[in-house]
Amino acid sequence: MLVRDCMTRHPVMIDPRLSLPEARKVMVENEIGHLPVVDEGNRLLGLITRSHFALSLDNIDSLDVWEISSKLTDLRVKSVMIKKRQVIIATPQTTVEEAAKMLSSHKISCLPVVDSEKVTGIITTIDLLRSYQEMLGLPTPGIRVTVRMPAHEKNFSELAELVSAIGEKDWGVMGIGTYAVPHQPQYYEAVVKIPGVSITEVEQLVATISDLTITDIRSIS
Amino acid sequence: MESQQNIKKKNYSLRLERISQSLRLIFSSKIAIIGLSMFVFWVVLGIVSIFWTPYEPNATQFAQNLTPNATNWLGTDHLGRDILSRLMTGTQVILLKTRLPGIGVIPGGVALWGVFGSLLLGTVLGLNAGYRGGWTDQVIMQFLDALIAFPVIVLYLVVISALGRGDLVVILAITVTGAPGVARLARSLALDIRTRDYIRAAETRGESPWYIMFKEILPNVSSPLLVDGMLRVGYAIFAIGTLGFLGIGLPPPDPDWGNMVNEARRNIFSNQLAVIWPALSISTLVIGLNLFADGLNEEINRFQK
Amino acid sequence: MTNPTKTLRKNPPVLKLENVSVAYKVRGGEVEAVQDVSFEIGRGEAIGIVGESGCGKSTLAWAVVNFLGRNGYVKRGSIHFQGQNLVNQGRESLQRLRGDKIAMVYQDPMKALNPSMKIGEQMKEVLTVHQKMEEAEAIERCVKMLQRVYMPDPMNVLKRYSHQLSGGQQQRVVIAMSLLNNPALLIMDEPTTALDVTVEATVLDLIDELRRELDTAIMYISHNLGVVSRVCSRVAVMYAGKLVEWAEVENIFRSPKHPYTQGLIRAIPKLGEDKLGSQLYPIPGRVPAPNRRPDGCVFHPRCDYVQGICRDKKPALRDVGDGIMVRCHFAELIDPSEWEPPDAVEIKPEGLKSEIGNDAALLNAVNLKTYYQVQGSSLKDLLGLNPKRYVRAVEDASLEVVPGRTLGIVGESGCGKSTLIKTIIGLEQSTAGSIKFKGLDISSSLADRSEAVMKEIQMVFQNPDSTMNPAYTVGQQIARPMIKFGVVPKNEVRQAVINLLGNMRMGENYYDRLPNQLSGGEKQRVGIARALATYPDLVLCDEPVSALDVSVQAAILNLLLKVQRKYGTTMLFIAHDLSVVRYFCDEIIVMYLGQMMEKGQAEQIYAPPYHPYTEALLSAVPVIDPGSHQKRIRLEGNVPSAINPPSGCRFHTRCPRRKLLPNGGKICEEQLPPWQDMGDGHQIFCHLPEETLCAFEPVFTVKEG
Repeated sequence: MLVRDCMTRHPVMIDPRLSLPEARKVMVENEIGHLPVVDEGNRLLGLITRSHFALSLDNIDSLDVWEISSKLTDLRVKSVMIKKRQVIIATPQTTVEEAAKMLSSHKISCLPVVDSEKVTGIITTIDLLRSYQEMLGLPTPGIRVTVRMPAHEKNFSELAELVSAIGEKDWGVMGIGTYAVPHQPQYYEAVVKIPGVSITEVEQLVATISDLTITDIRSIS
Repeated sequence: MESQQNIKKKNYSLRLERISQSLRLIFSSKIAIIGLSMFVFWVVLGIVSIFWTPYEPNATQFAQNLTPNATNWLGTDHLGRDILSRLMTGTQVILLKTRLPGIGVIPGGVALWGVFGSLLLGTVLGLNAGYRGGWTDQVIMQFLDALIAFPVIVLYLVVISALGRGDLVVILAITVTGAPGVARLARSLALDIRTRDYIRAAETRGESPWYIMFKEILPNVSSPLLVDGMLRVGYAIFAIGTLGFLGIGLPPPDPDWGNMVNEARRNIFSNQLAVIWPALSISTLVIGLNLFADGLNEEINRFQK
Repeated sequence: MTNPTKTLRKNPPVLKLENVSVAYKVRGGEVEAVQDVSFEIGRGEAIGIVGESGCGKSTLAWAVVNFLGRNGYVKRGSIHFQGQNLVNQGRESLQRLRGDKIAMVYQDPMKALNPSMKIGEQMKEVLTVHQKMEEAEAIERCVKMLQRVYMPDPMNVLKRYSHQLSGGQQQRVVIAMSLLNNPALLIMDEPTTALDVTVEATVLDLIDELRRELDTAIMYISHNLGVVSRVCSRVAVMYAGKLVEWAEVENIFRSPKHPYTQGLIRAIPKLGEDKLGSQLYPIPGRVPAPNRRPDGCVFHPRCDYVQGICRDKKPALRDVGDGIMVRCHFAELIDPSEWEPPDAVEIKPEGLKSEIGNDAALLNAVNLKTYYQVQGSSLKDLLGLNPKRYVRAVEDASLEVVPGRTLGIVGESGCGKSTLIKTIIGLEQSTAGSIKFKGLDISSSLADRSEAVMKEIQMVFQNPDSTMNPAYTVGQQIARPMIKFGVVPKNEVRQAVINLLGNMRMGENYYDRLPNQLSGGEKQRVGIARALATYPDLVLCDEPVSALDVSVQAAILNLLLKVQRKYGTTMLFIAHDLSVVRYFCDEIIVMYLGQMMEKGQAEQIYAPPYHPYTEALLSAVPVIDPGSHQKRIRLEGNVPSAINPPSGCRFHTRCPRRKLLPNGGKICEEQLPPWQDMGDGHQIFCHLPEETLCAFEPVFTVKEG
């Protein structure tokens, strides 16, 4: 899955000349927290997020109420936004896991998606979470089984065996995901979603493969 | 019988309604009103001059080259004739009467008859060219183009030198020079109208080409043609002035504005105003007609939208 | 990406209209073309706006893009695009708010394309001038976009001028151009109305696909309910400037709530219905002009359920459940299935002949050909050195019409159907073949026909605005043929005209009206009256209803049926709307590029065996029956030029069934197909063997479940 498949197209974008209150209104109306700032050709100039509307106390300490509000209305998007060079961006061809890594390592919550300089979309943590649900096959009913296997050089050969065994049974796999078991580096676990079968059938199948144990199994409808 | 009368009454009221509609059209344009009042001014002056002028227009009863004064409001010319009287009478030949040798005087001035002639000839030629198309179109339009290629003045000179002076000849000259323009307009309008479905309907009824041209097409092209005609009256007055200036215009005894300009020109150093008055008369009349036509045209177009 | 886990929190709409009223300043005041319209369009959603002409659909679109002109303005309400109000903003700030994120596609592609610029330059300009994009990059994007809209050979298209493309291609270019900026909202104002059905079908497919893939919100304006049902998920029905119903497509067609919506649906012939088995019900009256809308409910003068309250109180737009909003006082109480036609509606004429009579044919054309000479403009052409070229508008057409019956001719534009009837009536000179009317040869030109023949063949025209001479009153125009042919004595003409007008459901007061005082439907009635003034035996109808609104169309069709019954008139009926032809005609001929492809009884044409072209036509018709499934066949490429038509079967270049023949259908290129008799007078002009043709599945099947 690539960014272009799960990003939000036609993101709401704003012009750098807009005032800060206007920009804030756009955010509120559209129930969003990030606004890419673009020029006439939809080229990225910067990014503005909710946190830009919070002013630090040092700045406003000495001002009275009227001065604060006039200071706020005079502020333009251009002067407060994160400038283009500092904005972390993705391209439509970026993979979702890369995008997730970018978000988590920079501790940010959105990436403007830029295709040949133009902003074509935006990908947020919400979008990634949604794609995560789908990768594990949440929308379709079926058996969700978590299996544990030892970590060794032939990575996940047991999992491959399981998948081929499923294939032989003529079942299907709706979603699959693997991860290292936290605090137990000698094990890996995999989550597999199989539709249209019963728990016992799955248990019998897993039992036929050595080194594979079920840590969790449940039916999801 | 009663119903017949009713129908007549109805038709009559219908016509009245249409007339009032077109009047409203005129009065909705300021430009048209200004133009119309300039034109009406001269018409009224001309009508008055038939019954009364301040002095006999051709009598040399005053001192020569007088400047405007209490007796001669616009002064006198080089022969001592009252300019105002001469200008007033001069309107007649242009707008109100045509003198035909041997027959007498008929109403309608030379300019009007000339334009009427060119409208008639131009429309017949233009509708034929536009509706029939093909060879007829080619022949008519080539002929008219050749006519247009001649300078107008040369054409006038040719016609007048061939036929001699006279009101009828001037009318003929205006007709011949005006017809090509009218024909072009009529043709282009007919080209458009002939694609309409009601023309197809007439054709499938087996109507003759003349019926289609004059009963089906003409009523729908008449308003632009009339506006064009109005402009042409202006041009015709201009042409009459030019011919008068060249000394080949309308024959005496009636005063002719163009001729007045020409005569006054010779004495321009002793009496400048004598040139100005007739020149001003020609231009106000022409401008008035032009404004009227322009305003009307604009209103008609807006009306159609 | 589909989003099966429907989020509980709805996304904010891309476009949101709230109580929008649009007014135009006119002489002596102003008129409100649109009143109190509210709806919203979500991300990647297509909304249809339907209604008859004069209901304010286009005005609404112009209000969104701020193209109202100098005298129009948004009087009340707000238009929010991505959360920002577009109303009362200056040009400059609008540009800032909206950027290039709203694009519009108009009905006529030629209006959007500059005829003096190459396609490539125009498309490039959008990117280079506005967005300051590099030349090479811009071209690359243009090519990509043209590929997206399935334009064959995009590089070549960029080098051409708009007039060198066909109508469908032009519209594709316009759509591609509007998508260059990747707009969030695309407004389409009747984008397929000027196109043929098969082209329309491909363009609609394209719009739907683009919406899904690019997540573009679409506001789709159309008068055609079938088209809207194909691309839209929700529909707004507008009447006289007001939104009267707002619901999902399925609901609109299954259970329309507002009487106007119900009326619209009743007025359209369903594909497959005919005049014997069903009846069209026009909505009485006409859409009121914006300055004389009635008090109370705007629809009440035309409504069958009208009650006292409707005349006094304006109904509000109410939510009646299922996401349906209706502007009617009695929306819940009205059950469309219990609707009874009111007495004022013309009831279906009885006694239409349905069986084939054994009468001799009234009109008989054999191997009729009509060619036009093409006048080239090169010097060689002028000197006559080049070989003469001809447009083969009609090729070997043979037809037969039995008295009292209706023969329909269908086909896309350029198929020669108009030329065919013009040749029959004599407006075009036939090149070869014979036409016999009542046994008399009439293949000569109009000038050589006798008055008796002319009197018996009359024509009804397509365009209501040009069918009547604006200089004469209704009465004068109908009286003229009567006087010309001496049908009635002179002193009875007026009475005869009034009788005829009465038959057209027009009162005596219409006698003295001028055409500019009539509505489109009324003009068309007068056109029919004029054609009938001589009591002709044969009336040729050239698309008599295609320029009319659906409710008026129903009235005119009913009128023609009534006329046919009353006078026993035989009719030739041309239309491009297959449902109308199916409804109205007894026999049908399908034409393609001057050649007849199939002929037979109406019901035979609309069921297998089909000619491959007929099959494609039928599967392209936009239908509004949510309960049936339509086979999807799309024709590739364009209609070839009639100057140099394809050899053999003229349809072979686009025939989707050709590959069923051995050798990839080589025979289709080489030989003219035979007329295959399918029995009962049903004939198909195709090489495919009868068994194959019979094996075609029906285009329409009832949906399972």
